[in-house]
Amino acid sequence: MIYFNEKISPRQMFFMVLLGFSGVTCMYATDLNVRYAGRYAVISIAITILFAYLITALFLRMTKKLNFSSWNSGIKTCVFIVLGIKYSVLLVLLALSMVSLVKKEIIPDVSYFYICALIFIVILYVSGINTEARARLLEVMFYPALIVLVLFFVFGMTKIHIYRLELGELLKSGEGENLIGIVKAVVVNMLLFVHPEMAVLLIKRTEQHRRKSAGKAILSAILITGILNILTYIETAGTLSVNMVRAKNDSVIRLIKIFKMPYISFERQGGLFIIFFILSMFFAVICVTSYLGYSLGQCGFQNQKVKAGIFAVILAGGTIFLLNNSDYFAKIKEIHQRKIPIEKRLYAGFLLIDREQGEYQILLSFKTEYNGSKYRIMKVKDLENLQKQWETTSEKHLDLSGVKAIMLTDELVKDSRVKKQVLDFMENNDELSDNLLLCVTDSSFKQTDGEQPDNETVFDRDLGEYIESVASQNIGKTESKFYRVSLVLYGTDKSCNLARFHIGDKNVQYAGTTELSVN
Amino acid sequence: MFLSGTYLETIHQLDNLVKDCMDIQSIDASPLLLENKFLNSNKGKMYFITETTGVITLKEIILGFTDVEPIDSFENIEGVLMSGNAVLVLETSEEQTVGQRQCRALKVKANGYPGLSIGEAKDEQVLRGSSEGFSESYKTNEVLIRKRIRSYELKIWETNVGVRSKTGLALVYMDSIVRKEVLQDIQKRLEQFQIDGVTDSGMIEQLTDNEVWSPFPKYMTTTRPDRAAQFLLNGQIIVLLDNSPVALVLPVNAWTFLKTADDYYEKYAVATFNRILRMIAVFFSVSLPALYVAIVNFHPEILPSSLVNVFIKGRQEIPYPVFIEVMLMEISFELIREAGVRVPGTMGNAMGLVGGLIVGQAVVEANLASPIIVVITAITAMCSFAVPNIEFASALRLVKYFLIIMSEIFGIFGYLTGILLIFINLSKIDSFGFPYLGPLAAEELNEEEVKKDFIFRAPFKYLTKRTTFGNPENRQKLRFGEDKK
Repeated sequence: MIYFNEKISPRQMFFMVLLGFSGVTCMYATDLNVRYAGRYAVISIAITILFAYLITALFLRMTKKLNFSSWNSGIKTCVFIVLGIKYSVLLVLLALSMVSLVKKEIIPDVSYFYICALIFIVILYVSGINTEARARLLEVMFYPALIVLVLFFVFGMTKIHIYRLELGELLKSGEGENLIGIVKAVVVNMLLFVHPEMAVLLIKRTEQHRRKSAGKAILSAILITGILNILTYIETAGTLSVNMVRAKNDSVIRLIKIFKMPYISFERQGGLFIIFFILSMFFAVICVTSYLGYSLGQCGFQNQKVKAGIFAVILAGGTIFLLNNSDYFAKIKEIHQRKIPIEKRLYAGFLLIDREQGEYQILLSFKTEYNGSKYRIMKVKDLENLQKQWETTSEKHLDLSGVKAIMLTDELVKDSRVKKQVLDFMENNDELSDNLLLCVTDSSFKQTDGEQPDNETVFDRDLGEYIESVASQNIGKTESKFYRVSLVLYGTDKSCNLARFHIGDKNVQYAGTTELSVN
Repeated sequence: MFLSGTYLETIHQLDNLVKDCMDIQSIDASPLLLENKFLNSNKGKMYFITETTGVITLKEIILGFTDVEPIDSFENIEGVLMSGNAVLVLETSEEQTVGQRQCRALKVKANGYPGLSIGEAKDEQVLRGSSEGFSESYKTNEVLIRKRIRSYELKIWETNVGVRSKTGLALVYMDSIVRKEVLQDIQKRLEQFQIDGVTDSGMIEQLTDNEVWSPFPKYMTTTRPDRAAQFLLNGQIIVLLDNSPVALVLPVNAWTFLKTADDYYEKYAVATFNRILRMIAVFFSVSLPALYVAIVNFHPEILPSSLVNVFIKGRQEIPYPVFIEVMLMEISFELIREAGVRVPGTMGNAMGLVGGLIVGQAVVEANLASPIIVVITAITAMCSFAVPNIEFASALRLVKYFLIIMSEIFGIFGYLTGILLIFINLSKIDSFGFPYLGPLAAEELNEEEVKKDFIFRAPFKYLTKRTTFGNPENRQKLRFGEDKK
């Protein structure tokens, strides 16, 4: 074989390390580090990368003197069994993370069982190919990943505010109990994301004369991974604030959801980035599978089919064990619940929410095929049940992903308990966009109820789009958006301005702003 | 008296090239009978004749009836022979070794390139360049290649395959620029099987394939001699089989299938633009229906709200699910295509028209399919036709169905997983030791020279080196100025 020689080139090694770690770490490092180290997260990430670099360099130095073949076979087997167990656990954790990510963000209606099965098929297929083919795969997949990564960082920059990183307080407070937090964060990072021994495993796959450049490639990849992690942290915390990141477990996904790329007509470009993260998870799985394969090979399992069989047993057993001990297991038994074709969905474009006699009254506006609107009024006791209650009287699913604006009445905003319920509903509903416009009206619900708009009024067009465009012209594109309101809810900003509208007989008119504060 | 070594080997391979030299026989002139017999019995070989007979031949027979010119040295003989002429060499009386022999030689003009019997390459149309195509005879095809590469370095290794059919097979390669490992590999693979008979090069392709389960082709195919010559000059090997106008090319990678002959005849900007177009075509031909299924079933929120109603309106009256709608349209298209291939030429075009226009419009009016899926099927079909190689396009067609099924079950996640599985498959296959995804997925192949002829095609004068398929020791193919020597 001319180029299929079971050897990995330094460039392939660079991609393996970079892709294997960057996707997963970018996804989780921000949340994990903020959880343990709070606003010191940036320091803990930097320390982790420094340690990772130094320890890997040390391992690589040792590799020159290490000679596996001279090891006692018992010791050799023990070492690689330990590594095998480590990578098996990592593999199961990665697979589970992917399942939950996919389940939550991509296809919430498909059962865990099917998603798990699909991921296992991929892992088994990957384990059946040799290390060189895996390296080639990552080398090719790097390019699409790179495009998305660059877009992610470029468009993510646009909404950063440095004050949300709380760097000023970081300098003021100096040492404190957060130091322990930093140590905790570094330990967790080292356990989950940094595997210096993989450098030893990988370097054995290179040709003797290329090991020096391969070592450099690994160290460069670790450094770049670190820089990407710090950038992700700055983008996420700088946009959403440290407080919000602390309160959420999926802050990067939240950030992705509010991306809006100019000139691209997709409604939610965030989906593109989520796709990148899922691919990155696959890359990580492929890399870890590779290290596990090597460990098994060192323990005497050379046959690819034997390896594939062992992977299957470890993964199936490990996953079932973990799921059996969690609430998720019940959902494994669910079969394909529902996927909803587009014609079975009804897209609301605008909601007006009011409250009367302990019930929410909601006016929903739907865009018709001739760019007109039709309206429907619903009464619900609990906003969380809005869609379920809708489906008791309609064969179509009420889809809120197209909602451009939500308008609250003054009475509703004045009642802090009710206001919180509404904002929680918006926060928890997966379909509602973080980019929708939140505004208030001084008109009571009765004024709008039962109106029969004629063809010459704004009521005849898509009200959500109209209100959004009027508001962005008057108070700016981001001021009254829901994610800005979230910053107030999580205590980062003390208040924000909401657009105010007056609803007349034939028109909806911009009427200044209303300040929304924490209390 | 025979020449030996490189010259003789080459001359033996020239039998078809000079066969029309026998046209001399048709001239009814009695003084020529002797010469006719001489040429007839020794066609394709170069003889040294004695001074006496040579003089007679020269003075009394040949001179005066055809275009005969004296040749001074062996070096000139090569060029004359490669141009399809016969050569007569007159031995001197001095005893010297063959290579240094002083001799008189005559060029007898007898160009014998097959021309009129050669058809057009219908499957590989180009805007610019030769329209000659391979014929059914592999001997003729050898000559068509030699017509383009007049070098003694062009070698032909011949064998027979099929214990009963005894079909002739030729490996054509450039001796100094081919990789010997690849040549030995294909020769070994050809010896590894025994079969009753082979009727087309497609059978050889499958019999010598190491990765039988992968849908992707490991050989490039071509019906154009100029394309074959391009491949040979890159250090690749051509497999010609008797009774098959389709030549196989090896080794290749995935990007080889996206290049065409006129990529090198057009200016660099046009060629690069066309290559990018083809890559977009590959993406659409594989992904468009699958993405439609995934988006309409699982993720309509990514559609702009202005477009959502168009999709809903189109789907509203359709009595069956999106998956069935897409499969129905795609399979209908496949049927039209298959029927178009089977029916005779002009009727095939009519079939396409009927299928595409009339049936397409009818299914929309009958609410059997939405207008959007008709558009998607049409774009997918157009894009699949933009892929220059039929085998590669067929593999992509299969992949498309796989992705549609994955998208139907798992939405965009299924699509992604499907893409990943395809890439895993692509990353593990190779064509005679060359990674299928190379040079993108092979550092050793991804050198500066390769990048000049990859997605971007550099101006022709900058393409100074051959691709990595050939002998790594001999890569220079274009020189200027002082280097020319």
